[in-house]
Amino acid sequence: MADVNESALQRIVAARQAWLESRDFSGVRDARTLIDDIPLDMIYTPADVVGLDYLEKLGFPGEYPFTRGSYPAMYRRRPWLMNQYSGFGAAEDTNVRWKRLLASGQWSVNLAFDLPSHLGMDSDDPMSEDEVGRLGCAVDSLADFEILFDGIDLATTPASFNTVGIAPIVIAMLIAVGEKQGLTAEQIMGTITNDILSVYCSRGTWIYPPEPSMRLATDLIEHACRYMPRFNPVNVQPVYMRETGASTAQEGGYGLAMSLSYAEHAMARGLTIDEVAPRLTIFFGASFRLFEEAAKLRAARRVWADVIKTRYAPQKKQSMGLRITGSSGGSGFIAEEPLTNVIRGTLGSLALVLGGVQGILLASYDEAYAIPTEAASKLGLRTQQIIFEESGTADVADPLGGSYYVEWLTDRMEELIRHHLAEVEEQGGAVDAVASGWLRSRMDPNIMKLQKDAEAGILKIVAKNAYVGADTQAPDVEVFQVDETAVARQLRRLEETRRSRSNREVRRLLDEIRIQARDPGRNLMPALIEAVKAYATVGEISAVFREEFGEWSEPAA
Amino acid sequence: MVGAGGMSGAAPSGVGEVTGRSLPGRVLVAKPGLDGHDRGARLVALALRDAGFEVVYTGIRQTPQAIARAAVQEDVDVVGLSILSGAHVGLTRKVLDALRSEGAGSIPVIVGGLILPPDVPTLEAMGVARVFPSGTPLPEVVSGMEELCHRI
Repeated sequence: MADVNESALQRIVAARQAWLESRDFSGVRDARTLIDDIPLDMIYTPADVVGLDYLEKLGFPGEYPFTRGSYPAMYRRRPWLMNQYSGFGAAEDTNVRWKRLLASGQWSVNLAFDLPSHLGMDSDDPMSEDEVGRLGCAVDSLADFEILFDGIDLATTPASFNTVGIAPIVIAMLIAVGEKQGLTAEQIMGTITNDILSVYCSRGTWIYPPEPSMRLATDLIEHACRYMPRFNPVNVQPVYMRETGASTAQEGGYGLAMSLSYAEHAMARGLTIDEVAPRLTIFFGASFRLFEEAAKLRAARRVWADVIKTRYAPQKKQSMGLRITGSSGGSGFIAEEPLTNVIRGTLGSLALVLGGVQGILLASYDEAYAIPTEAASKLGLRTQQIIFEESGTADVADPLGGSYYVEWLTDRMEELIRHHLAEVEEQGGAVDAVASGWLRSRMDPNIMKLQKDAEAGILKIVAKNAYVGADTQAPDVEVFQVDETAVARQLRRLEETRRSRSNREVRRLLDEIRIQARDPGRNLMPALIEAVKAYATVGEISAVFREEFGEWSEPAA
Repeated sequence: MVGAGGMSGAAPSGVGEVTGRSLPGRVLVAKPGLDGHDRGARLVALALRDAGFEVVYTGIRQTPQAIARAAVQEDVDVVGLSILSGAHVGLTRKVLDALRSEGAGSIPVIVGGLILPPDVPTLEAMGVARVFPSGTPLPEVVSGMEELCHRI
């Protein structure tokens, strides 16, 4: 590092050269990082990090440039938020699962919605058939939220929601159900995805075109910045792009570009960078490659701190500290020998902890098959608890800091992240880069490369294309089954809700939403809160938006 | 919703669309239902184009009726469905019914995605020509398509 004096450095360089020449390295395998293809040397030494200025590029946790972590005491103060994604069937089914996870030591709840809910369709919509309660919990109205959060104190239990197109409606319902618990919006804790830009590139749960979608997302961000100090109103999801083929560094660069876009939109509402930036969170995926993932997270924090400082001159230090959550699993999990995914999940979680994240949502080992069984979900939580309590990884901030290799790799990741961020900005920023299909087109070639590398055996996946045994084909996991009675219960509740509410009042409130939707200067949140309190449904409100905003069509592929 | 015919013949830049009678075949890659996970569908579309097929990709969230109409309008040799939500049995049945109502019941249908082993015979019994669960090597998908296209 910088404290190695010049003659000592020359001796190291010379000794390294002599070592390389004196030993036989012919025929050793080539090593590169995943997709980014950064070629890796046999070993790294002080000569590889010679220009690294400690105070300028690393510093201390909680201090600019935040490479070593976003908070001073890191995991000595508190563990990362350990989350398991859960939600299925109808509200009462999810409520029972949540209560069991809370009893096992999880201290937050994270709701998975079913596809009709994500897309703003009620459970009785003809398009919803076959999908109600399948991939998550069906949510039609406040009546469902009242059951979901029964016995769960929103002032002490953070509630997280992984949804986008209906995000403002969901938070309107959360505020309404909080009121029924005697809480003000100020007291409610949690996070919502609300990142529409990522889902245009992957996952595909968009509803409206980019411009009105950004308006809805920004309405929620603005509302939370002003009235919900304990709630994170956007959790940018570059993890989706990772699943769609983005490289490690692309994930970093594109994710930061999108985060900047949300910050800019919120600042256009009259909020300052210090009101907006500390409210943004970002959610990265992690492969099982420990050092690359940790380097990416360290580099992403460094780039973010620099960009925010240079462009917006914040007054508050925390505006420059990127808060990161992450997940591992997804398409990296295999169906052939599902139990091997337990090990993969451990490595992915460890990579995220080594990278200093604030929260982890670990996919369950049976995810390659279906939504998680309760036992698999609990094992995901146990994995994280063991890393925290038993591995020693959480004892010292940024334990990889100072490794010649990791510092060198962090610098390479920083260069690439800056490059990808600049490319998006050359396209006019994240909104334009997404709307034109440009961003998606950057990732398609990677999917093909990954597939071909796996098929050629260049990319080794144990029990899938490497060390495959005779018995590898037979999966013996217990598969979660959708409860058909849940669909019937959900449909019955929706019908009862429509019958028992004042439909005249609902119509009036939907008309009010329509009028305000036509005026981009209005924040729709207050009108949404009123409408959901009168039990207007997700589908009814979204239908108004569909009529006013239209639906988006994908650019041709 | 995306108009199913709206993307016909669009080839990604650099791949180059092949035209003429020597084509291995014409394939509709479609995503029925609400599931938006299109990595697999796009991957298969790219691989088939690389192998010389003409590929029409519908985009996500298509109704069974729209898929059947697109299959007829585009005069395809095979319809490939990609479904990852778990709703493949119900959705596939609807697409097969819709194809029959369009008078196109003879077009072979293949299904790919998150398909559990016990569902494979169920789909085949319904009339699905081939099932390619996620993880199937691409060359296997391509050669399966070639066989189905040449059967006609």
